[in-house]
Amino acid sequence: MRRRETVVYMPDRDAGSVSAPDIDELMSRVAQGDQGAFGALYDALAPLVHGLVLRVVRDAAQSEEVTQEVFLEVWQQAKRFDADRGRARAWITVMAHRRAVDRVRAAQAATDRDLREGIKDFEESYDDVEHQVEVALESERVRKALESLTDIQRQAIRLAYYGGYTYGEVADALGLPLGTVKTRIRDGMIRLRDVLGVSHG
Amino acid sequence: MDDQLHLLTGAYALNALDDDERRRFERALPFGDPTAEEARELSETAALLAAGTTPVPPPPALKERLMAQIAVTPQVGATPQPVTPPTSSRPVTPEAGSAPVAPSPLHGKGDGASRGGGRRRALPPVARWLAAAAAVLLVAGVGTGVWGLQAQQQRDAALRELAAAQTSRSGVIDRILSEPDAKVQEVPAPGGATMLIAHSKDAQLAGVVTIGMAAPPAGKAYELWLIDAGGAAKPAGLVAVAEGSTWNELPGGLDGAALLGVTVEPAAGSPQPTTQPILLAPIA
Repeated sequence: MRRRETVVYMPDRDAGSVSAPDIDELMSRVAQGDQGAFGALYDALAPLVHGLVLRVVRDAAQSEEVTQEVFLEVWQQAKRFDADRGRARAWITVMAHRRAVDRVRAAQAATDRDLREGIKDFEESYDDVEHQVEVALESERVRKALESLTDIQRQAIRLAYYGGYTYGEVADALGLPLGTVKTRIRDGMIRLRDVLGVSHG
Repeated sequence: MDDQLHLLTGAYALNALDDDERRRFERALPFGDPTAEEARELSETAALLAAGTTPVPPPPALKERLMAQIAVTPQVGATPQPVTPPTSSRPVTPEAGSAPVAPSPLHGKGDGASRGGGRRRALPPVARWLAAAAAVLLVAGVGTGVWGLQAQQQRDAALRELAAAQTSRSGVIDRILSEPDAKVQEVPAPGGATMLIAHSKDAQLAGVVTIGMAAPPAGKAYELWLIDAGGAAKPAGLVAVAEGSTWNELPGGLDGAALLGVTVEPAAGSPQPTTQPILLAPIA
């Protein structure tokens, strides 16, 4: 049997990511103040979190700050995270995304950057990422799900989620009416929900 | 815009609403509304999109900084112990590259060292309260997405429950909520609990609801404090934690307080805080 030839950063189980029970287990220990467990949790999730933050924020130094903020908060709020068992990973991811988006919008406000320029950069960096070979299974699942969307749905969702743009900015960038972008994003997300089988309730 | 609200669930889940819109969206959703449920599901879906990015391990120095930082950073909701007030050197905000130095008295709780019973200090000035609040309340800005909505539903449910069960209490709640300047602030409390501060400045009415607070340690009580801009704390009642939710009216309203705090005190309460707050909320 062939050994993996690529470095897989996320400890790779069948699902292509750390399983929820393991994360939950670590989170419980972190909630008890276990610093070693925090280190292990960090090792398991930092590449995912940092990859996401870097994608949205793009600036390396700022991304490191955001990632650090996110994990510090995981430590401080571990009890709260632990209370929602099975969702710790989703929670951390949601928080990381929110922090990254906040950072990018603050930077945007500070520099008043040209939106189109920003979107162009974003598309270019997206292509770079696309070309990297190594893809965890779950990541492939997400990419496939994204491919099942219409072009406009996919573009709008990518710009919003990975680019950190508001739907108003997305509408500007795509030259579409606001209402259209709103509904395309919603339709696309509903489709993703169904394709990815997000549990109800 | 309300009939259009349900169209925003996707943008909401992607953090693609600006701050104002997001607040309006969260506030406008009625309890049990299917739109809230959809927003929750789409938020979970959005969380999966993170896996569509390439994992990138942060530089090793980042982990070193973090490990040093957490070693001296208190966890919210950890068993409160009498401690010295927060000092300005306490690492309460994540600052890259500034590794904290002084070991925190909040840690090493397994060391068996006596905590020097009866160590009391004057109340720290407001800047120190606020520094502590920055750490305690970090999560407040994150009360979004799935959890923001859940908390909102819990809040509505708790308010209804209180209104139904406690006529005298609901009288005050109703009066507050019927004031044009009524505000309900939602504050995450330790252990996944929620605190709601309902107030009307015009009517000088205020009350505090907690939902899901764990019982305090044996022989202790949670005490509420109204803290003014100068850092002076005024006792504002003991929280009688039972199952579910609690209600404290704050007679005379918030009285211009800048912060509302909660500390763990002896069962009879204290005239001044003797422990570090487990919760501090700037009054909106």
